[in-house]
Amino acid sequence: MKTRTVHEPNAKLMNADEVWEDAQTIAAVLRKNLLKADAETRLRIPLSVFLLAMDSLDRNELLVLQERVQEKLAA
Amino acid sequence: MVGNESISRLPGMAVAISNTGPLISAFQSNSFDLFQELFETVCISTVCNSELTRHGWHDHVEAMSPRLVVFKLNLAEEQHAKKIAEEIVRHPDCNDPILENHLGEAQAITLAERQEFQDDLLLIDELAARAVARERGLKLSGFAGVLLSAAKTKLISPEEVKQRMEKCRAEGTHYRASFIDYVYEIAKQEGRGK
Repeated sequence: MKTRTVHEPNAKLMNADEVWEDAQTIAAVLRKNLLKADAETRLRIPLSVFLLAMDSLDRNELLVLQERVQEKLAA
Repeated sequence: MVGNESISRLPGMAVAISNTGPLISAFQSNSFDLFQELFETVCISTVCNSELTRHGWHDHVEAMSPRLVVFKLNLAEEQHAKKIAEEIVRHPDCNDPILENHLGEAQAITLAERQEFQDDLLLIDELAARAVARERGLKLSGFAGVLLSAAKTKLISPEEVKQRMEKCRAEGTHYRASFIDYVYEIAKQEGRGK
């Protein structure tokens, strides 16, 4: 069996009260990246590409899209 | 496997730049899958890679490619990392005065400061290095924070958070029992939606 050693066994590690803050930071980083993606999608997909993509949708997907479009138009 | 190019990423996906400690904890507790759930790629520096090899984890690093990428810093970045290592050594929470022993943390911080990673996460557990990273405005977490995030998003249960940290402890990572209990309690509270 391979021998494994401990990394910096005498180093002081983070405090317990920082863990919650760490998890909050991770959530914020993930959220920020998702929001960036939304912005990029709006900017980068020309309408023509979007319309072309509709050709590949099946009936059920088109029905979902139709419902969404009707909701948007009614809003 | 070692590169210096920008990584390609899917829109909306975050990247984690990790120091040695959190990755060893992930390997010890079979938690790299959680890293993969939360982040598209985990990036490490060559010094971190050498440390992982020295500690016996080279096979794991190889196995996790291409989701684990080793970056080589350029000359200017290496110089910059040495200055950061000096900052870590000077920090009151640092109990190891040998600069070379802090190059792993310093290179991880330097990597995280790259423009392409400005909205990404630095993973680091050591107290002094965390303080230096925070002073530089980096967004950071330790391994326990990753487990807590995974529990919050229901990827694992609070009990699994505790088990994974205890596994690390059993394999030599010096998480105190009180620290593990505290993280477990928070995970349970988060699971109840508090």
